[in-house]
Amino acid sequence: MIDVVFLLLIYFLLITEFSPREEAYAVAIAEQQAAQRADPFDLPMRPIRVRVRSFGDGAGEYAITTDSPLIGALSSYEALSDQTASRRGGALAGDQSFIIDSSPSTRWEHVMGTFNALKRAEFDKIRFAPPSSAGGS
Amino acid sequence: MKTVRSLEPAHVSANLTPMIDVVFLLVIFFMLVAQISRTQIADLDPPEIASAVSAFIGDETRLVVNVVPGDSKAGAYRLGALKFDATERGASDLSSALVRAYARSPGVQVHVRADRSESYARVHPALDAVRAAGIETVRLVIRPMDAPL
Repeated sequence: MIDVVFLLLIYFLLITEFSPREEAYAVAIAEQQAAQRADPFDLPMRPIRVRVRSFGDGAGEYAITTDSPLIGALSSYEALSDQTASRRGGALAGDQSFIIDSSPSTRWEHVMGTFNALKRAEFDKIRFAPPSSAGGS
Repeated sequence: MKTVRSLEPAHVSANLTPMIDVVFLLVIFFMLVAQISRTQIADLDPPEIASAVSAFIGDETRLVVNVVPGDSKAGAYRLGALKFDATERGASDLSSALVRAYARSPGVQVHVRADRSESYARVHPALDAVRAAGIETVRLVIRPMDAPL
């Protein structure tokens, strides 16, 4: 019997997959919308739209643009993170909100890479716009 | 009177019972782990992010919405063993299932897992379904690039 049990043990050891560690970003969905309605006398702060498009299947095949004149040309997630972080508290308010505008075909990894860049710059008000085809594929 | 001592060694046998118990426990553990992994987490490859500022997923109870890789609309979203289509009706059913599951265990974390190559058009309805279920915070699963196994 012990032989059979050992065989079973080896079998389950082999089929059990030890996948790499996963992590998660907590994104407040309802809170962001409520916060924008909180005080009717507050001047509305225009959110910055960050457009992200994929032009290939590779991890580095993406393009990021924004509709803000305060942020220059962006070549990578790092550029987005660096530029927004350097203007945080100055040209950009600490609670500046961003909308990530992705096309239907934008790869999820590129959306999340953009999200991470804004989180690295310590911006918390980040929303995901519905898929839009405006501005390219 | 002389006593004759036997020079033969005493008969010693190892007690295998504790070892068998432990081995059985290990078998049960691996059976359960294999089963739980299959029901909660679909086989997909989350986005790999460099310098991620995400949070470690602990042992908290969670509901995992998996966006099943592929182009098929049938069974595009999975919540545990439940499957939902990538249609308006499917998204609505997913939202209702989340409401029921959330009512059973309020405050449970809701995770959305999607493959790195997934299109945004396929992921966004899952986020919308979570929002429609009245859940305030959703957790988006990634894999940190420098994470150990």
